[in-house]
Amino acid sequence: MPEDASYRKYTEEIVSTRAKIVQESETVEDFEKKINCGQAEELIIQAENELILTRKMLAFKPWESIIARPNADQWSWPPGK
Amino acid sequence: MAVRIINKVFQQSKLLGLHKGTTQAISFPNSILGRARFQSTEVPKETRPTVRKTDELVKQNLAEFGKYVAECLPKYVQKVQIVIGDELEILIAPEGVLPVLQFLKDHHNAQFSNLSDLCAVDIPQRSNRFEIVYNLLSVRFNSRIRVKTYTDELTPIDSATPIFQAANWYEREIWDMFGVFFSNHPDLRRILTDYGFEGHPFRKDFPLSGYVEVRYDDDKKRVVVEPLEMAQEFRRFELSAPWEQFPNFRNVPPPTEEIPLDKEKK
Repeated sequence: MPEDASYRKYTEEIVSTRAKIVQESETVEDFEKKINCGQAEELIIQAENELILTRKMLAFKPWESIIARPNADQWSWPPGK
Repeated sequence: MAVRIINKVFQQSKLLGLHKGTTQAISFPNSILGRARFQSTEVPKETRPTVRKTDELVKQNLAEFGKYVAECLPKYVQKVQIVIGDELEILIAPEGVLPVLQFLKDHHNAQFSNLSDLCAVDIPQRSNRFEIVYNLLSVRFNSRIRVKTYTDELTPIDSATPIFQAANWYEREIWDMFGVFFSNHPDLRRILTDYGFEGHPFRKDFPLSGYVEVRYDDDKKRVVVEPLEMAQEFRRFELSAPWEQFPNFRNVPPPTEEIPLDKEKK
């Protein structure tokens, strides 16, 4: 994944801050409170989901330039005008 | 004016012996000063009782999240807009259904784990006449998002069932009602219409009466299905009524607000 992909940038930031908090804190309750995004089990599920997503993103390549431009009439409302 | 009234009240309370000590006398005008300072920076509040109130803070958060999604997925996001004050819409290219839904479901900052609704809209004037609308709910962040994409009668669209199991029946419903084909759907059958039904009843060019008539035949002692005789073919798609319903709102702009995306045009 390229270094300058926004998805990579943001995800790395989130994951590294969380990992840092987990390493620094003493107890489970402590980092649960610091991360503030659910219980430890939920945090593990979230991290697993992110890992699955990251692997799929390598195939999707969403950092490339836009794949299809909409027609001029596509997103206008009301459609008659 | 307000200060004068408060001074008066203050004097009266002094007369009545309600006032104790001087600290209260100082705290009163201070709080009012503070409130006045806040009011000068606030946006005008919606006071009309019949108009829905929107929270500016919520709107700002939504706009920021919309920009975030567009920045993470520049390949697929065509437009981001906020509708009716606090509903975020992500308008994407049809190729991006799976990546965008997967991102919104599994990303740390999104976690839209619930597909609350999936439906289609038929707009025959457009070259891609069907809009497919995904409504997602994030239980973690108590937030909703709408993802819209488009297709025409022939182009298949990727099924969302690998990501959301809930999409299974919704996609069958869209297939039944609009005739939009979903590729990789595990079980794409009709779901609402009768056995042997032909056509897609939610399309705008589907006649209101249907194509066939079902009645009980006394001679044959059974229900018979007969083709209906159409007096006129339904060709014109006039979405507006012949009379004007709300003349006061004739020139009101649509309640959508586009969020500008700062992306390079390649």
